Amino acid sequence: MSVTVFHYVFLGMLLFSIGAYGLLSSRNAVRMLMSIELMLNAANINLVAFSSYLGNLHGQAFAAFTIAIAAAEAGVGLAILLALYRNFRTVNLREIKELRW
Amino acid sequence: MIDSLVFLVISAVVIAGAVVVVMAERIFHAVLGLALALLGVAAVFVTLGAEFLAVIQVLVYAGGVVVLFLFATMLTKSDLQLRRPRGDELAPVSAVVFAIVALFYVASSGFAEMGERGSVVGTVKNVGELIYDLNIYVLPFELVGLLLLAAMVGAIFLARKEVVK
Repeated sequence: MSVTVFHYVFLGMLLFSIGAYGLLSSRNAVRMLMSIELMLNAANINLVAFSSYLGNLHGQAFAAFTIAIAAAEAGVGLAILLALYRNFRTVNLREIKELRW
Repeated sequence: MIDSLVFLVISAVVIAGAVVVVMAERIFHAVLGLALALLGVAAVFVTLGAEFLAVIQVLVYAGGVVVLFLFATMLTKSDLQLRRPRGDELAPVSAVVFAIVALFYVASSGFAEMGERGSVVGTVKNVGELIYDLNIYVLPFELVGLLLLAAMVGAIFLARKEVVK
C-alpha cells in the first residue's frame, strides 16, 4: 500500500474536525484560538499535498501565504484576548457578553 | 512500504497532539499538544517534499506562535471550572457530521486515482523562483508584508496598557 493523496486529505479532514470540535466546545478563548490554528494547519496539509501530487509548487506558495496570515491572526487575536482579560478579568467567552450585541 | 509506515507514525503524532489541544484539562498542556501537532505537520511537509515550508512551519509556528500562546496562557488566569472543555452538547455532533460528510465527498472524488507523488521538491530556490521570477505572486507577497506590519501595529495598540493622562 503506497501513500496516495487521499491519505493526506483524510489526515487534513481529521485535523479539521478535531479543530472544529475544539472551537465549538471550548469556553476558554486561548483554546479556541489554538483550535483555529489546527484548522488552518489542516488546510495547509491539503494545499501542500495537492501541490506535491500535481507536480507544481503553486500550492506551496499559497501555503506560505496562509502561514503568514495565520501568524498575523494569532498575534492580533491574542492581543484582543489580553485586552478582554484586562477589562473582564476572565477568558471565559460565555461570560463576556457585552460585545455580543 | 516504509513510506506508509512513516506516514502512519507522523499522522498518529499529529492527531494525538490535536486531541491533547482539545481535551487537555490544563491549558498549558494544550499548548504543549499544539506544539507537538505543529511539529508533526512540519514532518508531514517533509514527507511531501516541501522542505522550505517545513522549515517555515518550525520557525513560525513552533518558534513564534506557540511562544505567543504560552505568553497568553501565563498572562491570563484560567478559571478552574474552565479546565474541562465542556460546552454545547451539539459541538461533537456537528464535528462528527462534518467529518462524515467530508469523508463521503473525499471518497467519491477520485483523489485516490491521482497517482504517485511528483518529483518536484519545494526548496527555497524553487519556491522563491515561483514567487519572484515568474512574477505571479510578487504583489501578494508584498501585500502580506504590509498586512504583517498592520497586524504588528494593531497588536501593539490593542495589548498596551491604557495611559492615564
